[in-house]
Amino acid sequence: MSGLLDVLLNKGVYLDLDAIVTVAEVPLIGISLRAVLGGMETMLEYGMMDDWDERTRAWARRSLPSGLDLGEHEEIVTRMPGSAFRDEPPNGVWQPGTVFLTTQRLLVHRSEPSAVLWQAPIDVIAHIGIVRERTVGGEEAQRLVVMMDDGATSRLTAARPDRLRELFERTRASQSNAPAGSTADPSDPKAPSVLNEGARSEPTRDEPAPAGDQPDTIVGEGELWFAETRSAGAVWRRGIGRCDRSAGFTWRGDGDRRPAVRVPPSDVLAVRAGEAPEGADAPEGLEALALDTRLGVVRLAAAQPDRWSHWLEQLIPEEVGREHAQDR
Amino acid sequence: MSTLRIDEDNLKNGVLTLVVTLVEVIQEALEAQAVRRIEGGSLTDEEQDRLGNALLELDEAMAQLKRDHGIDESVEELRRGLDDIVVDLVDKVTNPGRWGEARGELG
Repeated sequence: MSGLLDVLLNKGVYLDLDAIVTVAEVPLIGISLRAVLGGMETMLEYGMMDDWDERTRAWARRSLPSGLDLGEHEEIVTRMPGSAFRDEPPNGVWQPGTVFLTTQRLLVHRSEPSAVLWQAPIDVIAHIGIVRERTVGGEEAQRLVVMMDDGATSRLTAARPDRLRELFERTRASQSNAPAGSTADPSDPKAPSVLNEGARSEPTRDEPAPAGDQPDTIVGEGELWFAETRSAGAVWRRGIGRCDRSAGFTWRGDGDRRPAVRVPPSDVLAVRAGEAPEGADAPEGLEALALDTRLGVVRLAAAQPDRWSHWLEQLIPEEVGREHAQDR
Repeated sequence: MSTLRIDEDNLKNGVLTLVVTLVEVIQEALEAQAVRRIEGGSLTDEEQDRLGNALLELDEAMAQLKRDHGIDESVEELRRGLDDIVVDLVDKVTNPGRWGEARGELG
């Protein structure tokens, strides 16, 4: 098919057609058609449309910006095709573009029409994890999970995720020695507000929050992976875990309407560093945790397991803690 | 000639496969012409750069679309089917002697 198309375009097609449509020998519609179709290079060889070609390119030279507005002292470290996840109903969209890592920012830029789809200054990124996720069509794909200092997360894809992460670590290490004040200006009107686009801010707290929009029984919440048991074995899913002194531990998967895991405090027995279930290693860059409950073991994985252990331990009722200690 | 099996599970994928396949064919034609233009030597470095990057982005977006919807296989299958049809057509058009045979087959 593409072979045929190549031949047609390389040779060029010239069609010259004159026709009249008649009804009962009375001509009603006239067609006089001259059509030429060919690759532009072929057209130019025949000396057709060359002024138009020149005009188009001249216009592009004048009016197209160089693509990316770089700040002062900002240089591109690497670029590769990729996309950014935009969380909009019903289940979000992946917007394709080019992932740029500069000395100051990680961003996803689309050239046609030109727009910055997602960006974050390097110094607010806490951690980049690479996860294997199931796509809509049930395929496995590697995706990047970018975690900010304030606990917000965004998801990206990149052609070479490992390479991007490695370069990011290196860039950040070299930037931390750089003088302060070299960060991108957050008040730049062209910069979309990063943290409320494509990422739901999930505040994490080490201490109960003051009474406000959240009940003060919440010990902590944030990004957490859960090993869901399925017929084919365990599958790691990303979601939001929450520890609440009165409701216990809940975990809600991305896109789920209700929590898939609910453990009331009375059922929590113990937290320990867990081994991943058979045949499903924890996502890269994360450490496994196991939560022992009266109904069995809940397998979790987090980027900061110590924090989660600390939160989960606060849910264990005191009498349970004692009886569990005697069991051993 | 291969047929594309469609049930209610992959009806969406059937339509998507068709669209993606056609876009892929066009994309390949564009890439081939881009190579010719670059080899033709009339483009500036900046234009070559821009062209290359735009095609790369398109390629990656297509690959991701196929991955996300799990239609790599069915696109391949449909491409082969289309190739068979084109081979048939070209064969018929270039060998008028066969037209009679085809008519004979029909009736």
